[in-house]
Amino acid sequence: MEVKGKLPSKVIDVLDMAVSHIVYDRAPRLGPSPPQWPMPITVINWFHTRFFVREIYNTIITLEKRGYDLKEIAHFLWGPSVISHWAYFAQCPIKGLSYEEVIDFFEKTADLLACLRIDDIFCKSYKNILWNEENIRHTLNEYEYISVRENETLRDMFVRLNVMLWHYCGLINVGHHVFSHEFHGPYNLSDGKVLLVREYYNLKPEDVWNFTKEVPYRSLMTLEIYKDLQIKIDAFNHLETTEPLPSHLESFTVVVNNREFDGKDPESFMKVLFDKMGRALNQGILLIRNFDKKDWINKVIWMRHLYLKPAKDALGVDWRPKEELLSLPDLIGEAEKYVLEYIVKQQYPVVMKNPPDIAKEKLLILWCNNILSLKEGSYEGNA
Amino acid sequence: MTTKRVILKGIPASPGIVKGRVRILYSPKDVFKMEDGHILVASETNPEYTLAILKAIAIVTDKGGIMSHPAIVARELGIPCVVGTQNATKVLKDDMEVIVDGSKGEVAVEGD
Repeated sequence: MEVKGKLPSKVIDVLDMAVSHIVYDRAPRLGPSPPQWPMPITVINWFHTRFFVREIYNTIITLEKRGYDLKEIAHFLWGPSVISHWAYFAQCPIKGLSYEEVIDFFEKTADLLACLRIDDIFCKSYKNILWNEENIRHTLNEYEYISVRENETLRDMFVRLNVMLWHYCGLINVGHHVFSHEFHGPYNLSDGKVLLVREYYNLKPEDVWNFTKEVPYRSLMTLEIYKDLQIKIDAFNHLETTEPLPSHLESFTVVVNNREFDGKDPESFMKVLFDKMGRALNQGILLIRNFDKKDWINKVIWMRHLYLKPAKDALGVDWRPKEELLSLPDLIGEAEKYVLEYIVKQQYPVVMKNPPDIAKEKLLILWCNNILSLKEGSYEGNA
Repeated sequence: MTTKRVILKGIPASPGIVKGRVRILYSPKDVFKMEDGHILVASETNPEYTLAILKAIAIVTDKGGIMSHPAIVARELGIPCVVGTQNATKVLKDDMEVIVDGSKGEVAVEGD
């Protein structure tokens, strides 16, 4: 396609990852879907393009100028799946960067993914592979795993803990769970077994959410071994299985501070952790009951800045949002108008009314045109 | 042999069959009504329902598809789930004893 040819192939690859996900993975199977919680992701993305893209890009460029290579920078940005989400920024007008900078931003997105994922950087095989064989061997040998055949009560506590953690990540990150987790694997073991790794991080954003103070750990990791279960993980960290997970779970462990179960016996460790997370989640739920849209966008601004804190710390600069950004939530009406006019009315019909291959091409062209029009300063909706 | 009558059909979202009492949550503010072993019935669910979901033995919703929030969570928990029934919150009543079949996407009551 002519339009696609005007952009570097690396940029097309990044956009293709997101567009393919919308067309092939989400649209056909979404069914009658309830509204996204706490608001449409596209509205939040509109705000991301108002401050977050610029903030990410300028931070990366400054780190490079200070001598950090891309691999080092990648490790300041947590897992690759949150970086994959940057591809969605092409869906809305990007503010504060030139055309050349936007191109560089999306090329760097691909390069950063290549630093963190092994081989299949866009997870086209529905595997999110971050560890090599040596990492896996080390993980299997280093920690003691608990067989659930011997302890079903513990298994139930474990699956409930994972569900609670997932919701907790969603709440503190305003629906974007991926800002606090990286699920990776499945790593093939012997006898039809696979290893699934769930890393949770940034679980105590006390500067943004007061109720997280009581949460006992900033990060933790679960290691789960399943038998005869097909697990898919896409580039954006959606985990999908055809069957319920618990009945295929063979064994697991929870790692905190590089030790399984923090040195306590598993049952009491799980109970204490579950109770503490439950209390924090409950406090959070009570707090947000009175939130309006502006309150949520305010949290988006703070949490996305917090996401960049490790990189900002390396630069020795304050991670907190600048004063002028704090009035950004006032633009909620503008964001919703853009989403309605340019995404709901123009992009959604392309996906819903065309066969997948055609839908993908058409959507990709729309996104490419969004970027190309930056050149002439005529970006749609970029008033 | 006990017979059963299907009173609701929806999209099968997580397999398994359980029998239990219905608890209808009309909003997240109702989560305190949920007790261990209840069948959670709601128009839709979201993270505000988490503490109720963790007590449920099955989930039935009016809205949603197989990639919707209740469907994903039910598969993680290994409990039956039926989504997209359109009117579960109207047809079912609190404390009704029903059988949820997550494989067939059905909700039934015992008897003819």
